Amino acid sequence: MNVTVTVYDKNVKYRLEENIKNNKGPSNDDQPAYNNESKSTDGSDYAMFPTNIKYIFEDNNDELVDSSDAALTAGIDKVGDELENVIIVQLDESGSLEDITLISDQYELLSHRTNSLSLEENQMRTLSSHGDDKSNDEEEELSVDSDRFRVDSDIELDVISQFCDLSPFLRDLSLNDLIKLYVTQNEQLQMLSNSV
Amino acid sequence: MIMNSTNTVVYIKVKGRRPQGFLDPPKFEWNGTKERQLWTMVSNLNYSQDQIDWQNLSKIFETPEFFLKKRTYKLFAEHLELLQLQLEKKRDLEKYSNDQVNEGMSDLIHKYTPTLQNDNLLNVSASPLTTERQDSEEVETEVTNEALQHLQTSKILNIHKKTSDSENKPNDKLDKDGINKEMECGSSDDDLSSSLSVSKSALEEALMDRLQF
Repeated sequence: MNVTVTVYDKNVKYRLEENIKNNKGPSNDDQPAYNNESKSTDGSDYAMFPTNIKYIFEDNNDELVDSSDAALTAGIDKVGDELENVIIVQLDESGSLEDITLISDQYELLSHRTNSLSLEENQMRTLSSHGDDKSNDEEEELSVDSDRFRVDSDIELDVISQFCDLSPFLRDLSLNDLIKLYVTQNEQLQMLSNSV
Repeated sequence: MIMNSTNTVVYIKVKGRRPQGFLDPPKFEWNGTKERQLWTMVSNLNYSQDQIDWQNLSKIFETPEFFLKKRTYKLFAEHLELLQLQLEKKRDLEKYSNDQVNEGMSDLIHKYTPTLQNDNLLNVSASPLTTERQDSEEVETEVTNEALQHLQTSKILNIHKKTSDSENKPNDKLDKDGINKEMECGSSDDDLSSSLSVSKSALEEALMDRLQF
């Protein structure tokens, strides 16, 4: 089971920073610049990689309930590390995404999507294995377990970080760009209000 | 602060019991700098000869192989998308420039079309034109003569029909209108002279008509 999580901060400030860079720097229209700041190719968002992933199965639910503080700090090894964001991903038996929760003071979840091509492959494998007339329940259970074990999905979250003062970025913007920014922020606020 | 492996934890809750031998993946660090380095490495490979040594890359980046493979796939996908966008952009630019050239050509054609038409007119052989002109002149003179004759009679008739008959035949009127205009262009003395040169028989006819004989 290899689930990866990528978080994209959709704050408009990244797009504005990219615009300023493009205006100041040499023209890079001909060069596909993959920047070194985890920004997407168009610079419209900021990719983050929370790679500290912990799996919680039903058989260790009691552990989580009884000692939630310990569970929350389970991924923290170093003393003095400060946990700021918690992402909880809920998967069903087949490994499909059921729900995502983000607990953070700095980010709000806008939307999420999953890319699980391997999952489809796994399902195909499950179907083919079922087609082999395996009557033994134990064997079936084992195959389901092994399929679940092979769940391999990419989860992508769109989040929004705290709105900040954009006035330094707005000076040289055209009216058209300002309208686009307004529309984008409006949509983001709408998504946030819908999720409340 | 940006989410990373230190300040952010992801809990994946899975229904069912933990598979035998399943261990949580090790914690590792991944950021933009590593991503850029990975892209530099995998994008410069000669795929006909070289193969990606995932194990070695995993050691270099201190990152699990599955994660490197996923990021590599994602990076190629993104760059292919970018390449496609650039191709479309270039196509649009070429199309736009072609359209501009076409517009320029059409402007030129519009600009030179009148002169071409004039040239065509000038290039038309002179003889048919002169014959046409001659023909038209002949027709004109015939028409004028006929009109003059009609005018003479109409003037006489008008003398007696002004009071009695105000309605004239439309065709005659049309013909007369055209001619009257031409005649009005001439002097009124001509009208007088023409009216004075009315034939005797006509006068007689008119008189007889007036007297209702």
